[in-house]
Amino acid sequence: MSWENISIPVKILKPPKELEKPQVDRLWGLIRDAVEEIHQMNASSLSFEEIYWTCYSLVIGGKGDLLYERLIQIIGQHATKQADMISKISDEYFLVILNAKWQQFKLQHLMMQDIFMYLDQFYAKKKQKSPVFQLSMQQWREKVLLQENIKDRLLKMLLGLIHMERNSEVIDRVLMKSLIQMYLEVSNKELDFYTTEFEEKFLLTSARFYHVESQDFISSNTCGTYLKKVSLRLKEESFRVAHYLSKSTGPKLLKACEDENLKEHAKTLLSMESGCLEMIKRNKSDDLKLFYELFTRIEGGQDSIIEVLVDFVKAQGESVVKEETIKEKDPSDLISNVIGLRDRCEILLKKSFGNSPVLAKSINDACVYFINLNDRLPEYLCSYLDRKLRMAFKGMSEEETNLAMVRVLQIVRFLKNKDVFKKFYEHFLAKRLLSGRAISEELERLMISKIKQACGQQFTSKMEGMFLDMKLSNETIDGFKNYLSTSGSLEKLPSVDVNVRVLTQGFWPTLPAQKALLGEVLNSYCNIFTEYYLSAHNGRKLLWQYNIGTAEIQAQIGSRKYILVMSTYQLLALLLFNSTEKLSFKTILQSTQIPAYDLMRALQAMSLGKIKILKKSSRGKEINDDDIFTINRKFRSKLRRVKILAVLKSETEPERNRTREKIDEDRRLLIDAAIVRTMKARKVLMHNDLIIEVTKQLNSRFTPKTSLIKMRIENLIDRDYLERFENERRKYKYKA
Amino acid sequence: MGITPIDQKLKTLLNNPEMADVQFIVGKERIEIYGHKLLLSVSSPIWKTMFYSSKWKEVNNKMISKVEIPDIDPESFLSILEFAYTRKIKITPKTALNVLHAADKFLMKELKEATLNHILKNLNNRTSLNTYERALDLKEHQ
Repeated sequence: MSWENISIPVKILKPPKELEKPQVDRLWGLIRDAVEEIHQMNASSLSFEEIYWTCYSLVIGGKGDLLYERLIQIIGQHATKQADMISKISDEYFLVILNAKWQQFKLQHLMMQDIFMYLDQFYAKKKQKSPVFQLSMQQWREKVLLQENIKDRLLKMLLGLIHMERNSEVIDRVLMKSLIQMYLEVSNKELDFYTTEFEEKFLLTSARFYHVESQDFISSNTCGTYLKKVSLRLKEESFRVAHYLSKSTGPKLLKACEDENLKEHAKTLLSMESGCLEMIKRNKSDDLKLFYELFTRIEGGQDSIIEVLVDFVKAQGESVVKEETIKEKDPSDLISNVIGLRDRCEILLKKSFGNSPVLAKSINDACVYFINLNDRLPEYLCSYLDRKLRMAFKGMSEEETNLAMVRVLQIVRFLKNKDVFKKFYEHFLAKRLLSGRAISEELERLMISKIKQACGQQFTSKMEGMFLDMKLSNETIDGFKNYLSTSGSLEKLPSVDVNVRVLTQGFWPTLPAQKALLGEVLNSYCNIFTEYYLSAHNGRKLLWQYNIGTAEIQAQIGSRKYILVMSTYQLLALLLFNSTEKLSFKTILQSTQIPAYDLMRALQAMSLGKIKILKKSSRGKEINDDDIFTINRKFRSKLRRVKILAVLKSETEPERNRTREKIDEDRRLLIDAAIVRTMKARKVLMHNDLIIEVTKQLNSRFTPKTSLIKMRIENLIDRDYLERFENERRKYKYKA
Repeated sequence: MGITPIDQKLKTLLNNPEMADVQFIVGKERIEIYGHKLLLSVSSPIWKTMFYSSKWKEVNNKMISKVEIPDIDPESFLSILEFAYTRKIKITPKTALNVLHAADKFLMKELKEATLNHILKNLNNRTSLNTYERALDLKEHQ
């Protein structure tokens, strides 16, 4: 439809004229009467529609100003009247009456809000004045709540009631809520009446209350009891907020409460006789949990717990890893204690510290500290594992075994010198594999897979190589036996069940290849095997290591036959007695060519241990050149199969030193490689930067000493890999 | 099968005595128009108070079933109801200013704005100056 040719019905749409005075007076009179009725609580007879239209007419008629001004007046008068009345009420009924009057006033002015909707919308809003209801709230605030006989009395009584409630008396929470809500309802954006007139004072009173209470309570109770009380108090205050305070007061109130109860006494709580340290010492995980929960609420609380905890772990750790704790050269207890301490930390972390990542890291750092205090710890770990593996984790279920391994690996992860662990583990593994004793391959492989997880693929490559060698050796020996039976070379020789392990150099801890005279029979077998093996693997070289071999022989001593299990060296010595009765140490040494130290140990085991196959002429443990050995004809054993064990030393000093030397040698090579790699990439580098870079590269294996790196740099300069700058001695250049 | 939009459903209630709970007597002609308090209250705070606020006589006595609206013509009033029910604005040049006037009075903000825009958009120099002034006046009020 077009807007052309339209006659506008002007009649109805006359612009509103300014109202004449008599008309204004009449309309205002209606409104004044209505408001009066409302204030008298006689509103039930009032018609909303009528009053609304009256108000509408006044606003439309341009009399908004007049209406608004007169309303302020009339509401103000009403509020003053209420204040006069309330202020005269005795203390006993003061709060109840004040509340009743307030509720009434609110209801009345909600009705007013209805009537003056149009005034709010089109007068107040446009002139940026408060809507009518806010006007009412403002009047109540100024005329009633700030009245001198009301203001202080109200606050004092409210705070008094809260104090009573804190002392376990029952108070009228509904009344509290209504009155405190009143402070909030008369507040607005510009004027936060609740905060300034109530909250600030309430927080002060609360702080004072807890200041007194906490000092009193802490002096006569244990830390645990005190904390329980505080926790309860905090809960009560939270409930208080929920029941009758503004939500926004919650954090402030709790902070005040925490400050007085915890922060003020933090030092005492940490160090008192029943405090944090004691709880850790005595594994009081529940108390400690509460301690942690409460302390994490205050500033710096977590840090102070960490400090106590870390000091404890370090001190405890220091005493656990002390060399002196080792009894009879058995480091199992030391390792058990290390694992135990670590476990204890783990349990505390879980039970008391909510698995906090921050605490977990601190605990780990403390563990790293004490675990690396003892240089020999990596070796002890390996010896501990060696015992466990040799006994196939006896008495443990699959799950427990797994757990035991995981625990050890946790310690391994903390080692700075993982290379030492690696070397010794390889050493022990080699011994286990070559001992001839049955081993649990499943457990060995499981352990290695765990090490691999913790330390990486490269770390375990040699260990896996050893297993491969064992497997290939089995195949080789099967083939060899087959060859023996078909080639006919056996005919001239007595039958010996020969077993040879071919070990790839590089996988196995290198031992000095030592010569010994094998005797005719064994020598022949060795030669045949060498021939056989080299025909299949052209170009390889075999080096015999008699020192780690074992043998089983049948022997008749007296009237009984025994199977004797012994080392190859022992066998060589014993075989000599087939042709003579008596032999001196010197003669044996010459006849066998076994290194003197090894031979001494071999003979000691046969003449001084539980199983005495040989008799030694002199008394005492020492063996002299002139000592004469004879077969012990009185040897008796209930068992038919007799194991002659090596002298009880799982790891002898020379062996240990050899491993140590090997580790040092490996380290030198690794440092050299790292220096050359770095310099090749960077060409020119300052001394300090080079040290940092090399240390960084090697950290996953071991922590190189700066002095050692310096030595290697010097060495590389001598070997013409690097050179110093003429004018700047701390600067290196790579020589291609 | 489509689902009928709610405004189409509600439109069937427009001036429908069925289920109506208020009767308006509109204009000088005193035409009876039926309304539904719930729907009206959603659109205007005035009606909401009038029909539902227990503080006042109207609801207290539960007697409100007739409301006299003498200053608006029935056609304009119906288009106000239609807006309240369906949120659709149907105004003609004839009713436009009356609708605007009523929307203001009943504090129907959205309707007022929509009508005002409609009028100002369709205004041209051939339209009555009177219309223009009245409209501006009401806009001023807003």
